[in-house]
Amino acid sequence: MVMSRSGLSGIGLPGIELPGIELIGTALLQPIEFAINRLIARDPHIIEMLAKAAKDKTIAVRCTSMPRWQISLLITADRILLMSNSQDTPDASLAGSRRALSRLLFSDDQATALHDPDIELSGDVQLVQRLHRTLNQLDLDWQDLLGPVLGDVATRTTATGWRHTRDTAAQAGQALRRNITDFVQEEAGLMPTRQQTQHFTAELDALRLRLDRLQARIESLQQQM
Amino acid sequence: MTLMSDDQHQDNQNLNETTHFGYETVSTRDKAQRVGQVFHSVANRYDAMNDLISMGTHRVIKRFTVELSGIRAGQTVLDLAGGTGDFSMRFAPLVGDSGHVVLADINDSMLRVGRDRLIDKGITGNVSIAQVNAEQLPFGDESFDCICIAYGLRNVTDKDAALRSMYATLKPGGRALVLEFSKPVNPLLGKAYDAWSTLWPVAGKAVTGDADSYRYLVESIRMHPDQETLRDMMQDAGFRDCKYHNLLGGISAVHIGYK
Repeated sequence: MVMSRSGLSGIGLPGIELPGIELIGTALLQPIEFAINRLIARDPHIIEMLAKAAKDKTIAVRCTSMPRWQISLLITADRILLMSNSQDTPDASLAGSRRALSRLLFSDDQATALHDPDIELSGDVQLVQRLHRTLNQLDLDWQDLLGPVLGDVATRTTATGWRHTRDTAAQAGQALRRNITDFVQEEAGLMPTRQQTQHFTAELDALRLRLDRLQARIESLQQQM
Repeated sequence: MTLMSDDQHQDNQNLNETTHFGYETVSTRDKAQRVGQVFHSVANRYDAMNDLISMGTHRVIKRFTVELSGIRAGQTVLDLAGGTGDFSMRFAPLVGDSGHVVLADINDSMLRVGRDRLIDKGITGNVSIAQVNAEQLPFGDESFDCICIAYGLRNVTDKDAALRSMYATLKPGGRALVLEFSKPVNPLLGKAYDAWSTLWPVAGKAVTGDADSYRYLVESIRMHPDQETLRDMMQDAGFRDCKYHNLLGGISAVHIGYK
């Protein structure tokens, strides 16, 4: 994760370096790496395909939205290594918001996920495309993959978690928009309702018509004088 | 008048020259022997004791250090004073089939444990084992892309000689990493750490049956050069752009220098 030399950036009090903070990113990645490798070890085909696409290549992944983090991912012949402080220049870099990065793994529309305007690629772009294509081809069923480790219920929850979270967030967003609209229009009276706007517009049109008629009548009278 | 052979002359010189063995002052020749005894004694329980006295943090620290190595596939790495092979296990997948790691230590008991652990983990193709003296590395000049010595320099009799030997063995542009106990930057943390470390001989007695070795460990840490001094030593040995990262508030520090 974004490490500079002091671990996760932005943690701690200004001017005070908490002992061990430089190791937090490294410590967090250790169990994640272990779990990933344990999972892919269940099907040798997975690492075979990934290695074919990106063996011995380092890909830096950077999340640009809060909380910001960066990891380097190295695919070897038999495992995936995750690093938070890699000093190695990556072969390719992939940066994007959390939403855009999530889409790369979970979106139903994988064909466009990599072309999200929020995604920024640099270095060996073909490497990233190759790896992404491989992940699509593998069509990893996270539910099957996670099942033996987490159990059926937890797996189903995890597998559907993303969509559920996304749907919930969308519903919450719509509700929030409705509530804000209601408050601004009905409670605070800061903005007119749709009906009030339509009524006002109709009255304005009628006034414009009357003005046009008045103007025409004045011109007619001027010609008669 | 008796003529002395070169070896006899060297022996007499060693007897006259002294160094630290923990808080004791001993002849330079005795230090290597006594350090050897320490590690023969603790080799089999070395990793368990590391987990105990570091409360597991040594694993994260080692991982962090490897990340700083910037090692790539196809490169060569010397895991100096590598003992039970923790670093070699991490370096081996990084260098891949086209690279090579040499697990080196002066102590054969530690190397045996390291070799067995590597074999048990299936790491065999790209790792060699070598019993070496860090002060006189038997490898050709400019052999390695990276040399890492972790918690080992403290035990070397002539640290300057070891750093010079490491420098010679490193390829131009190569990187040396020295991970070692150091001086806590916060005095309160330093006091807490001192208090904690006084328990190590007791723990050492319980786990390995050897309190003296862990008494030596505590004393040797306190006698070891601080961050700035070690950085100067590396610069004196020829390394450039030397810098260090304090870990756990300076309880450990990893120094990096380039050739």
